Formats: sequence, structure tokens, C-alpha cells
Amino acid sequence: MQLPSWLVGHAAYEPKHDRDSFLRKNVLSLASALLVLRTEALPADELSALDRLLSLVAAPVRLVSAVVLVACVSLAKNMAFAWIMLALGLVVLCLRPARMIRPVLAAALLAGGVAFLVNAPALLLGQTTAPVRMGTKTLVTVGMVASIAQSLGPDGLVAALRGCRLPAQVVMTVDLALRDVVLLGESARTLSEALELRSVGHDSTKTSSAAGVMGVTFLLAHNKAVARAEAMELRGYGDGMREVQRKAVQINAATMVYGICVALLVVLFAYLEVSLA
Amino acid sequence: MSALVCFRDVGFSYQGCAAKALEGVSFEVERGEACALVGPNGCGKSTALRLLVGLDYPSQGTVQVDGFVVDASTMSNRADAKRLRQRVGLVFQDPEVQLFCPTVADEVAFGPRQMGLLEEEIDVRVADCLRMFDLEHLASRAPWRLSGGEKRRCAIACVVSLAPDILCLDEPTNGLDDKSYELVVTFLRSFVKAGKTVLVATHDKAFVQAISAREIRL
Repeated sequence: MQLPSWLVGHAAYEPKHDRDSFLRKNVLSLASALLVLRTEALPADELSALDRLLSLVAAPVRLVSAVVLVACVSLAKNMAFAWIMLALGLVVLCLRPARMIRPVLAAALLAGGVAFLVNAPALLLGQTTAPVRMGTKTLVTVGMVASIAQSLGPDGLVAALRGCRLPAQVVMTVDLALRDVVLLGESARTLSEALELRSVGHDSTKTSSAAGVMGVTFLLAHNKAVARAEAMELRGYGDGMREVQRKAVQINAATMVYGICVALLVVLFAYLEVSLA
Repeated sequence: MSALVCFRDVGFSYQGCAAKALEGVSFEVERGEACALVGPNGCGKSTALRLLVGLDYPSQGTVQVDGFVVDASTMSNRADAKRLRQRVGLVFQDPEVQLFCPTVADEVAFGPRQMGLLEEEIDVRVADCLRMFDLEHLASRAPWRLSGGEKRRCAIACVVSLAPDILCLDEPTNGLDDKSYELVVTFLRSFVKAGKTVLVATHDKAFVQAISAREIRL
């Protein structure tokens, strides 16, 4: 094959300066955020002492407890219970290593900050407590969810859902949704990397390049979803799911102690709601 | 003269993944040489290529391209990073996630346009690349509508249009029919003959022989 002259020689290429870091970092970090769910649960020897203890508690019990406590914080009419849960959450965070604290705190602070900002206009109407109330509640609930998601990992979460005796269809939908988020993140990140690798100079069409990346990501997600649906149909899916024989949840001493603690917190919630009403 | 590509005792593991993707990997690739990274699934072939273009950085050891150390601190200089990525082109394993422009011609023109070449020169590069990879009749088609083999040829063409000195390809023969396979082999042989360097990650032994590549076992 005869190669063209521009390909044969070596040209000393001097790239032009381009202010691309904002777009590059944001498209890449947006894609990477979707990949958080791909992170595996940490191995036992890397867990903190507290998490090693918590790992003894049955996962379905932890999941149900988190849902109950999130509901309590959300339903609380006065802030006492939310403050107590915030204090407990901070104590739990302090007992963990820094690499485990960072992602939980980042997610909780981001969500809490957004909730505060969304409710900030209420200040103009004289509702001075609404932004703080919503911001704190969001901070606490997102912190709890992020914390349990981190310690169980996505596979542990799905296993815990199975243990909660939810219909197989629901568990599979959640499982597929988690996997699809990861797939979407992987596609978006690889596309962003491909864009970065070929962005070797000055890009005057940055926004259209970024729009191309996002557009192709959704096309890929659609194609993959269609392909999966077809594969499922070919393997007999269509008339609902057959239930898998489930094992009963093991109630050990740690699970019992954990359950009692959560029950006490629910009692405290009810007491505070009644006494401070 | 020192080797063009040099991996010295390189180790790497992906974030959130306990297992090491690479551990104690060392090899060198000379100028004008074709090399093939071979080994079982999960041995780190694709990871080695990612480290070479600075998409990831080694957690131990060093990766060098023509004396330039590829790590977080050197790649934080955007001009150096862009210079490296013009010199080292990477074709991903999955071509689908490499194509993001509205048409095949735009896709091939993307890199040269970034380099600030004149429109006439860009047109020449696009025409040459489309011809070399038999994509002329698909120039105005949307890349995501192409077949698997066509997408792969398009992905290679859009990296070649940057005129890299080192061309890295991750499993380049996946999904290629006989004609496309032959086309890619012929191109790579000519590319190496012209004094350029090729580094492929592959399981295809026939392909390694066809391009007369030296095997580097990981």
C-alpha cells in the first residue's frame, strides 16, 4: 500500500493553547460519577472496625433499617430527630478511614447543598427555617443511603433486596437499572476519553463535540437496552419471572442488637414527635 | 539510542478494584518496530495501552515514550499531553465508543482540524484515509449506523489521520471480514515499513504473524 506523504514523515507538532479543561473535566467527571456504582464492596481486611462489626448484620435487615430511618427523618415535623441522626452519622463517619468518608460526605453535602439552594427562595417569603430543614434532612438521608450503598456494594444491595422477599421482577428491575447506569457511565467515559485523545489542538467546536459525546452515549444506551430485551426474550422471558427459592435471613446476635438499636431510634422518633408537637 | 517505548516495572490497579491490572511489567519497543502484547484475558494488555497514552498513570514503575515520562505531573501540562497524543494514537477495542461525529468524513477530519491544519490539507488527509480504509462510499453516513467492521475501519482511519508516530490498536481484528482484515494488515505493514511503530494488543496469532510483530507476553 502506498502511504500518503503526510503520513510517512515526522512533523514536529506544536499544539495551540486551548481553554478546554473546564469542559474536559466536567464531561469526564459526569461520566465517572455514573461509574461509582461499579465500585466493589471493600474487602474485609480493608474495612474499619465498625464496618467489620456491621458486616456481621444481615444485609436485608440493614437495608430495611435504612429505609425505616430515612422515612423517620423525612416524616419528622420537628428537627430534633434529624439533629440526633446527623450527630450519629458524624460519629459513624469519624470511625471510618478517610477514603471511605470522602465519597459519602461528598454525595451528602452536594445533595444537601442543592436542597438548600432549591428552598432558598422561601427565605424571601419569610420561611427562614425551610431551607435549613430541607438541607439538613437531605444531608442526613443521602448520607445514610450513600453509607449503606458503600459498605454493601451494588451486588450486596441487590442480594439484600432479594433477602427482603421482594418480587423477583422488582429485584431484577433494580439490578438491571444499576447495571445500565454503569454501562451508560462506561460508554460516556470511553467516548469522552476518545474525544480527549483526539483533541490534540484547538477545538473551536467544543460544545458540539461534547453534545456529540452525550448524544452517542444515549444512542448506545438505547441500542444496548434493546439488545438486552431481545436476548431476554430469546431466553424465555416474557410471561413474568419464576421465583427463586429463597434462603431465610440468618438472625445472629449482631443482627438482633442492630435491630434493637434501630427499634429504639424509631421509639425515640415517635417520642420526640409527640412530646415536642 | 534508547527505545521509543519503555515500560519499567510498571504496576497499576483500577480505582475501586482490589486486584492489580498490571504488576512488575517491563518491556521496550524500538522505533519502526511492530510489537504485539499477548497473554490471557485480563492480563493487562488494554491497560498497558491506556498507560501509554496517559489515560491512566502507573501506580509503580515508569512509562516512557521517546524519553517523555507519562505520569500525572507531566501530563498536567496540556501542551505536552496533546503533543504525546498526536504522536501516539490509540484505537479502542470497541470502535462504537470512539465515534462521536455526525458523519464518517467529519469523524476522520476531527483530529486534523484540532491540529489547526488548513482546510485543503484536512481534505487531503480525509480523502487519503477514506481511500486507504475503503470508506469513500460511506463518507456521508453516520458512524453509528455503520456495520461492526466498517466502524472498526473508521475508528482506525480517524486515528491515522492524526499522522501518529506510534499506532496502538486494541484487538484490531475483532469483527473484520476477510477483505477488511487484509486491508488492515496491508496498511500496518506499510506503516511499519515507513519507519513508524505499531503496538497491538491481540489474541489473534495469525494477525501477529501477518504483520511480522514481535510478541511481548504479559
